[in-house]
Amino acid sequence: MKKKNRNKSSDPKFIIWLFVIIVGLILFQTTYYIFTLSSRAQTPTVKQGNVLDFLHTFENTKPEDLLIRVSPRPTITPSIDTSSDDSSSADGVPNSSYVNSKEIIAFLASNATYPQNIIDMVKPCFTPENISYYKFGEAKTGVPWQAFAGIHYRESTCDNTKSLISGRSFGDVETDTPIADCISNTNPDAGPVYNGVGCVYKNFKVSTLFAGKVFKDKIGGNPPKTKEELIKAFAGYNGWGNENCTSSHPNCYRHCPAKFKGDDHNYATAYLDNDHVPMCIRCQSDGVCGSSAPEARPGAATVALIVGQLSGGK
Amino acid sequence: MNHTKLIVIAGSFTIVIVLVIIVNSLSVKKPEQPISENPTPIISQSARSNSSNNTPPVAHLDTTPIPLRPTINFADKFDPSSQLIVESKNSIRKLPIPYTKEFVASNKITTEIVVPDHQTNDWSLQIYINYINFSSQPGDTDYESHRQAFKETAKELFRWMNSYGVSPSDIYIEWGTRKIERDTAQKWLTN
Repeated sequence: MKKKNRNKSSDPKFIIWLFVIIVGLILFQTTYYIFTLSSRAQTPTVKQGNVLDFLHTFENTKPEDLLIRVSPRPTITPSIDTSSDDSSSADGVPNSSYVNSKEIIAFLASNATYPQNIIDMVKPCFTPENISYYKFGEAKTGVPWQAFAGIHYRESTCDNTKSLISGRSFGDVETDTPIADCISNTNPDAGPVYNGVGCVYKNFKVSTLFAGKVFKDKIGGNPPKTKEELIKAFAGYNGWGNENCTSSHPNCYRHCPAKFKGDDHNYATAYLDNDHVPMCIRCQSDGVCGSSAPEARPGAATVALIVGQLSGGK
Repeated sequence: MNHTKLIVIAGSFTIVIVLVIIVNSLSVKKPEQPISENPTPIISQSARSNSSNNTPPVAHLDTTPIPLRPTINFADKFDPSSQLIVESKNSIRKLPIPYTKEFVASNKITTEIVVPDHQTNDWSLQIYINYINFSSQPGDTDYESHRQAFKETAKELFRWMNSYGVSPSDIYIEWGTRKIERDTAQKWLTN
């Protein structure tokens, strides 16, 4: 009798215990996987504190001021001198019939709003004289005028006495132009000329013309049709070696691998959006790529967007 | 009876535990290498994305000679009718440009050959080998791998030229525009 009663009561207990053990193991396994997945998802490259350390490298700048926001873009329209934008000038170079693609136009009309300190850095590019030359470059080469501003900023901070090729002064020998590119040219308004030592750019216009050619050549010879091509051309213009995904610096680009060629290149995309802050310079100068340093200046694509916004899309 | 139940429970428990251990051990992968704040060997992005086994690309020393471009002394008066220039011009005419080709070197570095249309003149050929760090110097972590990738890419380019009956040694080639690109390319081709 006693044995019979014990059998009746122990059967459900057995099932319950078995159930508890299985449920416990399932919970254990689930917890294990959740823990494993979350630890894999953590970005291993950068400590949280490094971002603030990087942002604080800018004097008088609060970290929150560097955030890039999206809001209606400002419209500032300077009076642009278009006197140099004529096709009857001495260069003899025909105007380009190229029409920018809708994608490029849309990208350059982005409504991202940039921190004031970044906009202030770009303002030297936004002078009527400079913009007239950038637009001259677009008319002749098909490269968007905003891209010329981006190149000119990166090469010489938009100094109107210095070239878009490498930032050397007009009239100085430009070592970054092969002699083969100037030795047979006799028209100093159409391209660089040979002065017995090397190639020399007469002025802003010629420098812009040739920069447009080099820029296009980096991507096969035609103006960029997409954002990706535009950024790749900027990166190639600077030279391959500054891709941040090849750097181990803790304060560099943290979205590796790059979405496309050039997206991780500081010359092209620094400060373009929040994904491109921070970035680093890997090669401090030609032939010097020993260590990375924080990038404090906007990339060429960023400058292109800002000057486009400042012009009100005109 | 109690012993039987106990054995069944213990057996089930043991089987489940063993299964859990097996599943866990199969699903655990090698931990990723911790990223040091100190500079680590630099591998190009292409190399990273292409090499899934985390082993750095090995640069095999390529000692095969590569044809040199004709030498033009620009200090002398430039003569567009000289034999070198005429040969170069005739050879370039045989090539269908523009030409673009992506190439993966034996060390997994991806490069791109770009021979653009609208060359500056008709006797020299501007060629870009993209994604190569021409600023890299001996001792830099990416020097040997990029040098190797460049040389293999150049050979691929020369194969393309040969396929049109053109010898690269007959063409005056400019490897990019920047001085560092041209100088480094020339150095790598000759060493």
